[in-house]
Amino acid sequence: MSSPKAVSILLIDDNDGDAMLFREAIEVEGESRSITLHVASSVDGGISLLTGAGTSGVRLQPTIILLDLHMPGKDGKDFLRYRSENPELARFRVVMLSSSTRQVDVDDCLRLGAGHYRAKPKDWTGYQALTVFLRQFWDEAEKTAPTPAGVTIKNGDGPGSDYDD
Amino acid sequence: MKNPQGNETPTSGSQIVAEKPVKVLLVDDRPDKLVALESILAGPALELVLARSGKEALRLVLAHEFAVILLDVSMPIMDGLETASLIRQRKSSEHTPIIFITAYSDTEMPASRGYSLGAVDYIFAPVDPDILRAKVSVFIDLFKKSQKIQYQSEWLRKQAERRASSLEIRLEDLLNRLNVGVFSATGDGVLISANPAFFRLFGINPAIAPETFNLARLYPQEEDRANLMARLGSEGQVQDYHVRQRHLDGTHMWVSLSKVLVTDANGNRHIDGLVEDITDRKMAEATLMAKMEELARSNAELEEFAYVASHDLQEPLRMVSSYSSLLAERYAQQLDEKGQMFLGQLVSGASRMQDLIRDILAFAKIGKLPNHALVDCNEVIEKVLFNLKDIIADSGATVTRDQLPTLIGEPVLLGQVFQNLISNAIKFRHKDRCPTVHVSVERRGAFWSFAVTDNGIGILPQFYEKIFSVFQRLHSSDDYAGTGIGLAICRKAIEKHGGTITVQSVPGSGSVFRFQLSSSETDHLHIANSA
Repeated sequence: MSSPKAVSILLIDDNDGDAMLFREAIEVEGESRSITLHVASSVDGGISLLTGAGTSGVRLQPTIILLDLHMPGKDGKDFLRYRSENPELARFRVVMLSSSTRQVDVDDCLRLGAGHYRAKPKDWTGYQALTVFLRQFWDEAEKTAPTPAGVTIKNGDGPGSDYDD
Repeated sequence: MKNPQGNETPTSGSQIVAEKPVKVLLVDDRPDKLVALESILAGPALELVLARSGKEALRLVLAHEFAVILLDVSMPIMDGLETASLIRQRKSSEHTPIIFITAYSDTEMPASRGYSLGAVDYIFAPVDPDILRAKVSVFIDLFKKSQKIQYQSEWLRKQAERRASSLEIRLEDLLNRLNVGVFSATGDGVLISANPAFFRLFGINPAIAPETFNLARLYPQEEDRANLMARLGSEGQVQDYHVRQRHLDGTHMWVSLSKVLVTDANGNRHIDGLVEDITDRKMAEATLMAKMEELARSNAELEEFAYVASHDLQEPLRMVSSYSSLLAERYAQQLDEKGQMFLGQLVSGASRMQDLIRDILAFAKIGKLPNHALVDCNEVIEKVLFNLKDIIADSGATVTRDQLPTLIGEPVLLGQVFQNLISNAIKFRHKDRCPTVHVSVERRGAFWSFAVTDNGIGILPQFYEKIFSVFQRLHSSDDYAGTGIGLAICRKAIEKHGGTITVQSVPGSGSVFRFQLSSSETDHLHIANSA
């Protein structure tokens, strides 16, 4: 087994329940890797974290962005449009994570630059399957930046809500 | 009465002809010879007319119609040949047969001259009574026959006239009673004639002189008239042309117009037309259209509602399902037996709810899917068998299929149809035997008729219809899992493809689900591709 390397994820989703489940799933994965999970509950929050414009001054370089589609205010498609218009964000790969299975949503998101489109897991087994799917990105990231195992969870956009696991 | 053709001809007239005495003209300057001829020919059916000179003969020829003329050749003043020549010149007698009576021998008589003057025969004096009677009777027969033919043709002509006039009367009667306006007009729209219904239809006074009325007055939109006339001009006729016209009281109505451009023998063109008030029909059609649009809209709204509702229901349910399954995995061991059972109910309830919502979504989505891909049913089945590989393996089922066609359809829907039918066939298997499922197909005219046959528990006839309705289940979910939507999806999907789905079953032995899919479009496509 190769030594654990640094992986960071930005999850943009307004649903706390999903974020928590994802964290649980990632934690299992974190037993063998170092994974940092940042959570933004809105598109604007996510953009702040990526551009360093937020109050925390953080400027993330996530290995992967997991993006919910339906959110109040700006939605996932708005984020994809913003990303494609801003070269500094365009390099981050996006996996859509949505409860919508409408073909039109899938087509739109892929056209707007999302690399993958996955239906949100409908139960715990689904979350486990999602982490398995995401391993390809970890594996790739690990080739470049080794770090110790463990998961760091950061709730990026809420003031004072950052927390470490 | 002897009448050789009387039995075959159409007429009582032949008898009338026979009853009329036939006239024969005898011309001789010598009374004794006239008397002799008269005595030879006298009979009930003959009227013998005597002339003592050529001049008298000519006068009689004008007054009577003779079957034959017996003409003495040698007469003073005007001899027989001259008389014959003059008889021929009269229109009424130009074809009357003439028999010359001559004392000349064959060689002495200028026969050619006689024939050229219209003689048809000669009799030599002294006259042999038998020969005379025989010859005259030939011409009398001929005359009778030609009279009969003339009469018959006259009779037929009259008959035709009678028929034509009775047709005319009937036609006029019909036109008067008809509720459809019948009219003719000049190319410029000036009315020539019309039936009462026409006047009634537009509220025109039937007493007006037709030529004072122009049909252009009936069109509220001059443009409509121009379009109609342009089409009439280019095509020569219009059939069932729907256009708005105006009653003279100002109200508008919808009419169906049929017009044909007619050119008469003199080269003059006019228009023959039919006009029918279809306002009621149009209004009924409009109402029907509005109702159908309303229905389509409410159906679409219902589908949209089902889609949105089921989609929104999914969100909180995902939380229930995910957390309950996470709870079961992580914390079940910390619960006692009862707690674990409760948790199990929570997990399976959430899972069933998800299946239900998934199926309602699928059902609601059917109306939204387009229907135009080329689908290889063999590939569809293979995909279905892959999806079902676990339950096929677990149940020990054997699933077989015929070589299936490629057709126009919606691949996802057809996949759902086959998957629902095959998984049902396996799910409702008989406990005493391994399930077998066969998918077969046969060509029925413009359709492919598919059949999915199983050896399962079967269905009672009273449930044949019920099973295709939404949420209809014949078994408790404890015995057989399922949402009760699968067959409703099948039916809606097949109906969207223009077919029907039915079931036949022998309870305890198995069921056959049959459905049709149109094949004509595929053939069409093949032709288009190969062209």
